Amino acid sequence: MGFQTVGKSIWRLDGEKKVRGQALYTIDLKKEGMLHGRILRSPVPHARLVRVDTSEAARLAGVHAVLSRDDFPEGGPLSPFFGRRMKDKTVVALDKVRHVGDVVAAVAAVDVETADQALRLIEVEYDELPLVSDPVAAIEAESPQLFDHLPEIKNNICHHTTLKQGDIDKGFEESDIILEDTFRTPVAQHCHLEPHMALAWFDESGRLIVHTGTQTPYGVRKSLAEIFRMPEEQIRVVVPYVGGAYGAKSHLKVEHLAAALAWKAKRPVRIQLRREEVFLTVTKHASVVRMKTGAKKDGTLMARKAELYYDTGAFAENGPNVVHKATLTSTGPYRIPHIQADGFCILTNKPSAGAFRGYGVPQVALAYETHMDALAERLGLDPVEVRIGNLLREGDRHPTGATMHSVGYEELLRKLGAAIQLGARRKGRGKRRRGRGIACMIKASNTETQSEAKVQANRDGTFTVLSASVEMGQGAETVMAQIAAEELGVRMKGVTFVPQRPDTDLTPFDAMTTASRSTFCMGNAVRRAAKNLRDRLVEFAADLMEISPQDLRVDNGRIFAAGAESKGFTYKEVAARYFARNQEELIGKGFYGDEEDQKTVLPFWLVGGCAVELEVDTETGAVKLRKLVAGSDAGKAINPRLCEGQVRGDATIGIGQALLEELQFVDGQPVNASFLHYTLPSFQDVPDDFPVILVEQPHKDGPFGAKGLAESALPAVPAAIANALHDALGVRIKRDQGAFKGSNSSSRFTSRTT
Amino acid sequence: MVLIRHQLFFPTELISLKRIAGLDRITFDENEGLRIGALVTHAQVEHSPIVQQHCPALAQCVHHVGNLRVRNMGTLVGDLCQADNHSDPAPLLGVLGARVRTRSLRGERLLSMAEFHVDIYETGVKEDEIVTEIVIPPPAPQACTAYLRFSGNSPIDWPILGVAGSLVAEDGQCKALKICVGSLTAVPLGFDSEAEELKGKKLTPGMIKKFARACAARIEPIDDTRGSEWYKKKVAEVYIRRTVETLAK
Repeated sequence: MGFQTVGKSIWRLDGEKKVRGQALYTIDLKKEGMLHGRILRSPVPHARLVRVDTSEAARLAGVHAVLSRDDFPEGGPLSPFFGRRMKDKTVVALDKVRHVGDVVAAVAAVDVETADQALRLIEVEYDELPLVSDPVAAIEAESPQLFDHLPEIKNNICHHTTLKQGDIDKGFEESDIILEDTFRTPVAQHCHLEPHMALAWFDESGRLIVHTGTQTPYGVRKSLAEIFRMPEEQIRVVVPYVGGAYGAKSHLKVEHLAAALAWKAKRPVRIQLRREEVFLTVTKHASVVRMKTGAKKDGTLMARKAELYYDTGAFAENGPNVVHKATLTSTGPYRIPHIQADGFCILTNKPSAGAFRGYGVPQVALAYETHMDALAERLGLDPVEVRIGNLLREGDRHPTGATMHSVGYEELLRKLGAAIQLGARRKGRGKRRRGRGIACMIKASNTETQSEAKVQANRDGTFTVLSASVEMGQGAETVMAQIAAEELGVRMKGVTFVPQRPDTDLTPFDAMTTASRSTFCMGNAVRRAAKNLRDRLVEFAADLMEISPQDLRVDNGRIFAAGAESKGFTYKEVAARYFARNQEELIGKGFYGDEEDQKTVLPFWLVGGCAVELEVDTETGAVKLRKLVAGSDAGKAINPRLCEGQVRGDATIGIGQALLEELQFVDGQPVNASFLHYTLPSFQDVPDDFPVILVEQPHKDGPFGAKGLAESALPAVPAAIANALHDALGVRIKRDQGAFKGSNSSSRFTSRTT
Repeated sequence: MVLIRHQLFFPTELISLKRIAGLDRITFDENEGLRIGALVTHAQVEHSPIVQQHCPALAQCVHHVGNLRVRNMGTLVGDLCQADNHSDPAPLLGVLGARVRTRSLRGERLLSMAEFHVDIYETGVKEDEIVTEIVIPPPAPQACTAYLRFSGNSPIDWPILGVAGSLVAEDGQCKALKICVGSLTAVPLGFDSEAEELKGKKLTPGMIKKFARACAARIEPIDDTRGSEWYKKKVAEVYIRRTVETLAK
């Protein structure tokens, strides 16, 4: 099938605006009478709140509102409780603080300096409680509890997922080789360049208006409706351009605080977090993963036991779902007959961990891909072939029951292996040693969620795409326009597609811009909307031409009679004639996720991998990447350049997490929560040789075969680097401590902890 | 400004030196040597033909300060006066024998680097003084100077440590060696007594190794997010050795 627009690397529609500094972000918005909000945060990780006295702060000139627990009396106008998975969070701390940075109070004042001064006048008395810091220790019965009033939480565990298949004991009995190891990964932060920011006010009719850089405008609206005890329709959430998000901007982050201050001050309030606060707002889960893998001599996987301990910090946030999804894919993209996997989402006195690109998969992929590499090494097999031999294939059933489809692992793995000449692996010698490694990953998306879109033909020949998919740098606006253009049968050149950015008053419902779902879910909605509009245009043209719509064709923005190309109209002409007759909108609607879709659509899998060649200075441990190849199955790359950008950006975050990043805590205090001390990868930290491989195994239900890919490289990068380090040094990146509970079998291969 | 940004320092008044004439110069004369004014940015030092001719190691060293934006705005004197221990130029200025010229209503003073560096964020500059320039004496003929830095896995991060060295050698024999290590301790650390041992001796790999080990043994690094005391000591030994090896080549 030849495409006109799909598959073309057109320049992104927002590119010029962004390069010229003309694109508007939340920080660019101002409102008459706007106040500035600042937040008082807990300096201690775990304490009972004895006293919060805001009286002096409230008296300071220039202060318009001070928000504290006194504003949330039982049965008061505002409800303090919210939370993505359980109502464990409160707008401000009520009786306890649970991490350094927990919100104690907030101030709205004429400027930031006055607000800061007011924060220093708030008197707070803390009665410190014992610290819970280690997730594995936290679940012991004698450990201090973060929550005692929520029935969902027991022994600091706020969620437990189990995945079972076959007979795990039998699986290990039938195995010729068993590997068992413990892996640890640290806390990381998203480091989106635009900090969390929101501007909120109540308009003259009492509606709450919020402008915010969120990934989930409809989710924010719903949660605000609960807090303010208002119908959702009384709230309007508008999302300007977003300067990076990676999961950190889903659901309430600062919106509720800006809105509550605006409610109290009766003035618009804007809150912009400082970088130091961003680090305390949401993070990536630190993890301890215990993994045991059994296989036959020929490399056939027999059994997998996994225990995932994910440190979700002080509040559940998205943690339960992160752990759920990570546990369900802890077998990797492989066929394993006997499985027992348990994932625990554990509360500790750290900032909340939530959604972060990869959604729990990088932590567990490090474990299963290290085991695949160790298996190949121990059995003397080729690391690519041992993976390919165990792959879940097209049509196979995943342990969760889902069907495998559009999974181009074999092609991807072969290309990755060839790209770094993995066959030429050998242990290095001398002070500088080189190594090569490979890894792949699998991640589920959330194709069961819903999206709606509208595509409108305007009288000037332009089209408006109304979609609540957030443009946060990934290129959603451009891809949606390409999908609409392809379906409408117009070329992008010379035709203007105007994006209507997310505004809950204007753009139809979209579940969220997360989980790499937009191209698939919203893409389908946009495609259907465009088809709906095309049908209307063709129908109208058929009327004009007094011909049956079936006899009309569309190409390059023209509707014409089949076989008589000169007889017809351009879309612009059709629109002009249409609007000359009536003023009704010319709009097409499309919805994705209805009952029919739920029944027939196969979920899409994020399919990715990474191959690395590196050099280690054995005298200092410094690692230099010489080459990194990141690969993904795009289904169909709607815009290959944007796809490559996504994969390369994704891999770059993976490089950071593998080699540079760790948010460190000492006694519950973050010690490097700033860009001065938290090292992010820069252009000088990525290898000069950094190609991207795109594989295309079309998805039957994706728009033009496309699916998401923005999280397919990152999870494989740390594992590939760990495997390359082993190739160079003979050392596995893991922790030896801690076997399974009740298990006395120790690791059958030993190595040094690094 | 970095300290203000990080809320470590709360000045009530800030006085700009920008309009004081003469502080933006880089000059060289045979007597005093290289003089770098208080308003000279890192980028100007890096690209100055005068610095490149008379002190190429310094031109190369300041390339590692911060990033391009910082180097275009920040000054070498400012970097020194902030007295953060992770300064790249500080140890190099130590081995170059640089001095800091201060001025006040009471007159001028010239501080050696040892007098200048007091502690982290603390210098020998008095409250009524401003620093007007850095003075680097003309190098001894045949002196080789080098600065090697280590910043873990990221080449552009703050240094975990920086080792500056200067060597005068004749026929492979050490006539004068200076080594100064930055970032590890509150102020740059020199190793004159250890270097004295090498005087007049041939710089064999074994000698260099022994020297590096002796130096590292005396360092008590501050442990932080960039490494433990143990690790930093190990790396210091490696980098002192590599610096001397580079100089001896």
